Amino acid sequence: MDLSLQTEDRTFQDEVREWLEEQLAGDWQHLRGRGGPSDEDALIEERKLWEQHLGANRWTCLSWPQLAGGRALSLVQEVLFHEAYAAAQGPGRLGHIGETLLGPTLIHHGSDEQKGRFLPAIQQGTDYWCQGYSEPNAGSDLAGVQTRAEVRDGQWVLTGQKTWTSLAHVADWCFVLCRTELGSQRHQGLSYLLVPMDQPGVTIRPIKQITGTSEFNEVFFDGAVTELGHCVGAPGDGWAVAMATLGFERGASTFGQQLNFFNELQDITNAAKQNGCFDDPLIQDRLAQSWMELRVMRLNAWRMIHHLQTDQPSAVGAINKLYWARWHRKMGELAMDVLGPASQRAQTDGELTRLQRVFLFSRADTIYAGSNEIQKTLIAERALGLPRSAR
Amino acid sequence: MRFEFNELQLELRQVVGAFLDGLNPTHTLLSPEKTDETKAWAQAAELGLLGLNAPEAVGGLAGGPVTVAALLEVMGNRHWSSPYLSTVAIGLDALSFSPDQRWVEAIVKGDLQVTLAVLEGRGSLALTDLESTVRGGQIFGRKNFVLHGGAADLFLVVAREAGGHLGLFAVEASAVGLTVCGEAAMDPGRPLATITFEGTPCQRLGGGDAVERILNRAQLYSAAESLGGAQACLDLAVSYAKDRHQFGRPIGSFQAIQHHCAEMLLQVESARSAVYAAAHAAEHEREETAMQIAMAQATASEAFFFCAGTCIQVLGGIAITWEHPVHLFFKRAQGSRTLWGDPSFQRRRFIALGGLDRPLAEAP
Repeated sequence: MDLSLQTEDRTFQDEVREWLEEQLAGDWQHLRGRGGPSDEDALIEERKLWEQHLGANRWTCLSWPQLAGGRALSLVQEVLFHEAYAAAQGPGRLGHIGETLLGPTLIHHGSDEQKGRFLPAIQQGTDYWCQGYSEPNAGSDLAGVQTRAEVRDGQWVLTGQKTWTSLAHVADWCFVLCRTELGSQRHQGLSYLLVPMDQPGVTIRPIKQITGTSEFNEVFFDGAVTELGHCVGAPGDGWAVAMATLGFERGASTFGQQLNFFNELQDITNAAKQNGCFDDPLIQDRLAQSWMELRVMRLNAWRMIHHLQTDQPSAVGAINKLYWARWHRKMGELAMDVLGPASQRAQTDGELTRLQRVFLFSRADTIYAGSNEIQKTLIAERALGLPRSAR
Repeated sequence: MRFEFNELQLELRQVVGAFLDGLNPTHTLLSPEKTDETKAWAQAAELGLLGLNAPEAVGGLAGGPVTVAALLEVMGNRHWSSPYLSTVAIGLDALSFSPDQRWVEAIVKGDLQVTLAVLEGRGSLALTDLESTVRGGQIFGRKNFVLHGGAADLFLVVAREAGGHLGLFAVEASAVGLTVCGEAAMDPGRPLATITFEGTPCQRLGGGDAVERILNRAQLYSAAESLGGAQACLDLAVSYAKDRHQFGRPIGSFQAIQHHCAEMLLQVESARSAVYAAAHAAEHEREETAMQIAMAQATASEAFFFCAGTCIQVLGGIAITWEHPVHLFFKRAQGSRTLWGDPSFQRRRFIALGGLDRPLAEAP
């Protein structure tokens, strides 16, 4: 059992912290703490410039192979970067969908032409991506995808609707899972197409959420087109490629997320001390429970990283999403109970407070990226080897 | 960053597992009714397990908290009902403060069993209402909920010295002025006793620091035992859910059962992270060790109780019978939850130890 960092990792950590601190205290200070869940629309153009600055200094795509424009850094160093970024209140990333989802998919399944066309622009922060998976009738059951594409006049032509598409309104491209074989069912006959967003056949409609803000969008394809060569993998193999995309997330970003949770919980604890409810033993008990669980969440994540690094199956990795989603939702409820009746009061300009937005939006945590119920079924079948349930 | 045991620790875990499986090969866990504990203890001595954390000079293995926790996890997993935790894990540690090493040597040989006599009154681990005192080398007072107290040869007693300060004392069971009143317990493998001291001679082992140290260690090792027990309950539930058929299908294919099992895994894995990190902190005498142990005990004892209870629900009617051994785990889980500071006590301790004020981003 050795839970300390290696010397070279500490050196890397110092380097990251120093660089971020210098940048975010200087020219980029106005972006500090902006963006991210429930503030996603803030300062989009400036944040894109920041991402280009990150890219130029090679702080994007850290884990990509060097040939693909990355730095082939270890998982531990990637974790340290995410932690330092969150600790320095680096602005919410816009390029992460390209960096962590599409990039690795192209590296493993893309043609040389696709790699050459798309990877450098992701690394440099000039192309932004969104994910076209969910549809009104294909949520937890993704194989129910109905968006269609066919080849007409030497190009793909798409018709259909995607929903819950994060950052579609800032994206240049969308990777779309769609049905390309007429009459095909379920996992068969799907393809994985790369579609430019800026064209007449694409309409983006923001979804006004429970918070009043819009992180998610509906995306309508009505005769939208893309080049024949922009299909990843063979036509008809889209399901396998789409699943591969979901398997590339290495878990490093969960550490940055935990630091954001830490900041939120610290605000809640301070609020309790200020308004006096910290003297209530029941509130103290809930705060202590929440803090303990946050620390356990972090230890769980480190154990998961250890398993990934040593190529072991990770039961603790399987519970990560369920654990943090439920924890965060409960933390949101605790925040409101700490504030008491004042939790009902919005800001003077009518906007919701940060904790109100966290409280409301944390209800989504237990739904997106595999709802709690889906997660539990996956844990039972994959990590515990229980027989497949009726679908 | 290596969150795993070394080769020696892995080998020891295998040795202990095989030893305990061998005690009662026909049963899935060690029922105290069917195990010859005297023979088992002698075998443990032969295997060298009773010197796990004793100095090498007396034939011990000099194992630190990670090694001890690693083995207690296996013992909890097999539901061993011996006083190993108090005799070896704690006893050897506490008696290393003693200038006289005869006790340590006797423990290693298997000739001396030790138990902790700490709790008084209703049994709060906060110790604020502790009334036992030591005057002129003699101890006065009454200790409740003393595990395996009826069979112990030596008691490690926490009592107040002059000025009201806590101290740690060793008292031999054969000493004058000592009365042992054995009590049956809900957990048949963990008989209790009430011990009365009326001017009983004792030997001082240390002051408040020693008390704090051994109580922290006891909570850590109890948490490790609970982790093993929780894993055993999860495994029992999963294997039953694969085998048992109802409505023409294995019940493990029903989501209601699957989700119970998933919740158990979440608790087991979280307990594992908390226990291993706390053992690591104790081994390296990190400043935040006590806080980590509070987390470990709260998380692991809760996990054990949850998994034992949920296992009963998954198993259904058979689990309510005496014949099926899961009731033993359930009873032990309840005991482990309450004897070493229940979860809400641990949460108060966590706050007192700065759990709400420490940064998150440091190595675990």
